[in-house]
Amino acid sequence: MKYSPVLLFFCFLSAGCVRHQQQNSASSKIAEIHDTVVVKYAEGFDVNYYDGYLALISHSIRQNSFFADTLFLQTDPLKADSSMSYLSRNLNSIACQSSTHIAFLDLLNELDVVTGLCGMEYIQNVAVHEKLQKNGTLEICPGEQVSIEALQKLNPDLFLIYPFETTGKEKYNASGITSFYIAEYLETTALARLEWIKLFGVLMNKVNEANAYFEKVETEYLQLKRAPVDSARTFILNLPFKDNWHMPSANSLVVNLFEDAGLRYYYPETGLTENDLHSKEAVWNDALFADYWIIMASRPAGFSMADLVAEEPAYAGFKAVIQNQVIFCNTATSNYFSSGIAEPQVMLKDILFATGQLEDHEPEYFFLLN
Amino acid sequence: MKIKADILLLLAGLLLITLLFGLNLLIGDVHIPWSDITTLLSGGEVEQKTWSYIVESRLNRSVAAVFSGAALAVAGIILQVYFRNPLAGPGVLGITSGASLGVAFVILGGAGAASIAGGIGIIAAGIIGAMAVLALLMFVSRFVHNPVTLLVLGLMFGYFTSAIINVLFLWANLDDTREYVLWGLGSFEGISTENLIVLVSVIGLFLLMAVFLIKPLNALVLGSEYASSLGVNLKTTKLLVISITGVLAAVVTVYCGPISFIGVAVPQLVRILWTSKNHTVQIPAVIILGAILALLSDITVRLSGNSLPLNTVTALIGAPVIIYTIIKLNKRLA
Repeated sequence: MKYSPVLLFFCFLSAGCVRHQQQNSASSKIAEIHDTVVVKYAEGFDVNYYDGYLALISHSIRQNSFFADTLFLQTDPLKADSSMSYLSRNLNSIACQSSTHIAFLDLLNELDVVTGLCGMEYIQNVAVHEKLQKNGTLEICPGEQVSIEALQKLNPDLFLIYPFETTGKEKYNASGITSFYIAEYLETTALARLEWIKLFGVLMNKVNEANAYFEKVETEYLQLKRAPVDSARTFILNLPFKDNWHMPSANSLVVNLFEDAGLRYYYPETGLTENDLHSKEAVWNDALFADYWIIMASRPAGFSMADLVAEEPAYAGFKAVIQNQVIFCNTATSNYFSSGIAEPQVMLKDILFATGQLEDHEPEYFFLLN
Repeated sequence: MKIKADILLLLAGLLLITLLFGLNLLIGDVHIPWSDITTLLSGGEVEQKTWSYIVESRLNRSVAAVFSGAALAVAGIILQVYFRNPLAGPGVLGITSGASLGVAFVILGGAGAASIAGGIGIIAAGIIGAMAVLALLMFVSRFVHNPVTLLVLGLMFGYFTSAIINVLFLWANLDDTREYVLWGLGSFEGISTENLIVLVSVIGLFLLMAVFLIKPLNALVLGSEYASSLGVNLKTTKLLVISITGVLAAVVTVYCGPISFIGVAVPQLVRILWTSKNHTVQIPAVIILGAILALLSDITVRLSGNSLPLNTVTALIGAPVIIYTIIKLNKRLA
């Protein structure tokens, strides 16, 4: 009896050490993969077919963060392991943490299932916005944070989330909400990002439509792609915040997109995944030599070169400004965030047109600032 | 001998300002030779086109640091004498928060600093906010005589205005919120030459006005009744204190953000370093030391690759001084 308090303590300790399962026991079972969805560019997801069910797997692709998530869907109820829990194949209600998720669902003509969304106000696409409003889609992120109460009230079949915070998923699971990580933003090329439509195709039972759309865009994009990069046409990116100028990584999606148009990034040594912090004055100095200046920013409609120089007179000395080679994407007036992801070939066309490599094109996202 | 030492210290301070000013022009990610800097400052031209903008930017931030540091330090010493509290200052008493609230109304209301209406509106709103809090504090001080209670009330005003700002965030869009948050970190960077002229003119004028407070401040050190018996007009003094400290704190807050600690810490350092208790010496001393601390803080920010916010650096310098003051005050009261 004198050991009982110690025993009790170890009982509590071992109970505290029990690893809570994220999904269900199926993930630990050894099952034979019968088939997979062919993923050519994307690194952050896999779709594996097993006997009677399939697994959607989303995972981190870089060393600087780690996450993994699995979702099981039945393909044949008679063959599927009955001890596992599956997501319904007939999804009636999906909540989304990002407008990019909406872009994929819109491509598959599945906007009707979207019952909740974070940041309704950031949907620039008028048709999509109207449709969501008409459907009564609920804003679930008042004040930029996901409202658990709003989510519980909505009780969606699935909540598509970003892996920004590790505690988020635990909170949703505890509330009885099935969630799944969508991390398409970590991909480093436009085609890889678009390829996530294949995952959405599986999820929404529209595999053929998703594959067909992807293949169509891929073919067009590869036909437009310029190679090799022209080292004589360099570009810098973005605008400073006060004294700091964040330059995207040389392996970021936006840099790869512009390099696909044949331009060369001025900072090819910039980190693999992270933005590099430069001082404003260092970039001012480099801008004397960079041929193009790519800006993606929220500005009033009709924003002009004169407005840009009025923001900072030093810009007048930039080579890109002097040679009228500032390529601008106004995120306040274009659908860059909501549908740009779905149309990388259009963005590439815009860049080729702005750099004089394509004729007869009406820019949608990127245009030369006048 | 003591006066000589004080004057020598003032001259040494002026020399240090000159050195730090020169250093702030010289250092940076882009190496610009001193000869090119002097050429540009004297109106000449150099081969690299953007260097003129870089030197102008470094010059503007250095001038802004000198004047803002001086302004906050003068506001601090005036408030400390008036409220007879060594921990008083524009930040502690909620005056900076009042200015921040005014700025928040304009920025979070959608009129960004970039627009002309926004620019003028921010200045006006900042000054109104700062002076409103100060006037409220003075009104309350008629009924509350305990200086510690008054300080606590100032802190409460600060919390209250911060709460209102947080409520304003609910209606603001992401860009406006980001602009306000960045402004709140404090910085001497990014002030255009036109805005710098306004900042320097207003601060210069009100620093000159502070000279008129030297005699009342010397008398107020011994208490308001004693000051009154010496012929100090308390109503006029109160008006001058409100106007000078309110405008000085507001103008700095509007252009550089709510900069903490300089207003409280510099007068304490002056009392440690300078022997004379006469404000004829102490006012120039806080101007010089305020400018030095602000320049040092800006140089530290720049040497950190701009990764340290200005308010972090001023806190690192100012907080130990304030802790020392509290310990000293505690010993005196014990």
